[in-house]
Amino acid sequence: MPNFSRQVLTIDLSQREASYGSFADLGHLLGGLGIGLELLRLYRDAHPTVFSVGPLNGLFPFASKVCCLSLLPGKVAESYLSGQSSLMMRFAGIDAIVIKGTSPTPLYLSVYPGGVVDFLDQEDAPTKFLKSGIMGRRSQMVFSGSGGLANEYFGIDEETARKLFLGNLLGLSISGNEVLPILKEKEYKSLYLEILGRGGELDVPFDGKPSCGGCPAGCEFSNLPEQKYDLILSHCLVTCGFSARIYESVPFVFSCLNILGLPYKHEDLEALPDRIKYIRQHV
Amino acid sequence: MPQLCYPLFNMAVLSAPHMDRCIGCLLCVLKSGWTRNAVSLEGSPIKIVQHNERFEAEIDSGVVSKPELEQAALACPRNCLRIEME
Repeated sequence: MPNFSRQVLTIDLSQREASYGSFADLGHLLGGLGIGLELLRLYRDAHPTVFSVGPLNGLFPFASKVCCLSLLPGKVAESYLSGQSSLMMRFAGIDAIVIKGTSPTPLYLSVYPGGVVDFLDQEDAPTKFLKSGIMGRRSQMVFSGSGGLANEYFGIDEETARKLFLGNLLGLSISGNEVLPILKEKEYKSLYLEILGRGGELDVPFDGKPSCGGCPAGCEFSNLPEQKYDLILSHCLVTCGFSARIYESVPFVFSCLNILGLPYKHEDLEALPDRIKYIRQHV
Repeated sequence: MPQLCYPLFNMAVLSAPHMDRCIGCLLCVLKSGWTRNAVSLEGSPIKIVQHNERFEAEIDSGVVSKPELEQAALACPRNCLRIEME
């Protein structure tokens, strides 16, 4: 059983504190939905919101979403955010962001690579927020009582956005500039181009709308948060739901992970649905 | 003659004459690092900045080699970028 640790940034809005560290036991849940649910379970007393990405985000086409989970009274709000946020989290070296607590005053957050967090709460915070982060290497989300937007275009799930807004969090910026080395260069490039060539297998036609990072489709639904709940592997990898015909194949995903040097076994991937089901029951 | 750490003359310039077609997929940024056996947003000659549904490119052709510029231009699925020889 692979036991890869995952890098988690935990932000406490009440205390204005952030901690960044390795969670050693999250590897068997792959990423995205799996680690998001487990973090919700671990922090359930604090009613957190969790943003998480998977091992393929930033590295393969159509692996372009962020899993958003929010613990609400009696239920879990689950959605998949479009835009560039998944790339920025990946290149910031962050697998998941856990946000908990309520800020005493309106607050904006700017997250930098390595889990560095800038808490902006002065009078000029809205202006500072717009200028925060690394230009051209950042994704900015804003939250309001009626919903939220990432990069002024990509919709954020209404319940999640409202919850963060009520916690006095008005904006979250994520910047990423880390370098991910390619281990098996030839195989990686070949597989990447193969996936890119399978764009015709998406459930939506290519369009000219603003697209998610790493996806050349620019489909007409890119501005909507994805709310499909019947996929497991795709949601743990946090790939686009429209590319399920590509990423719901265990042998294919096994190849992708193997090329990145992640020694998962077929059994690990096949066991995911049962593991996710178990955690869902215990959140 | 001391060896330069970066080429002074690329003999090629990357331009973005068709940014009206850009959808912000960032494949140009991501794939330009392939020549260095890495995937990254950093070190790329291109920065794509989004304003609602519009995108702007900031290009610095001088910081990378010609193959990286070519990789970036070829990566664009909507042919927004062009290599111009000097």
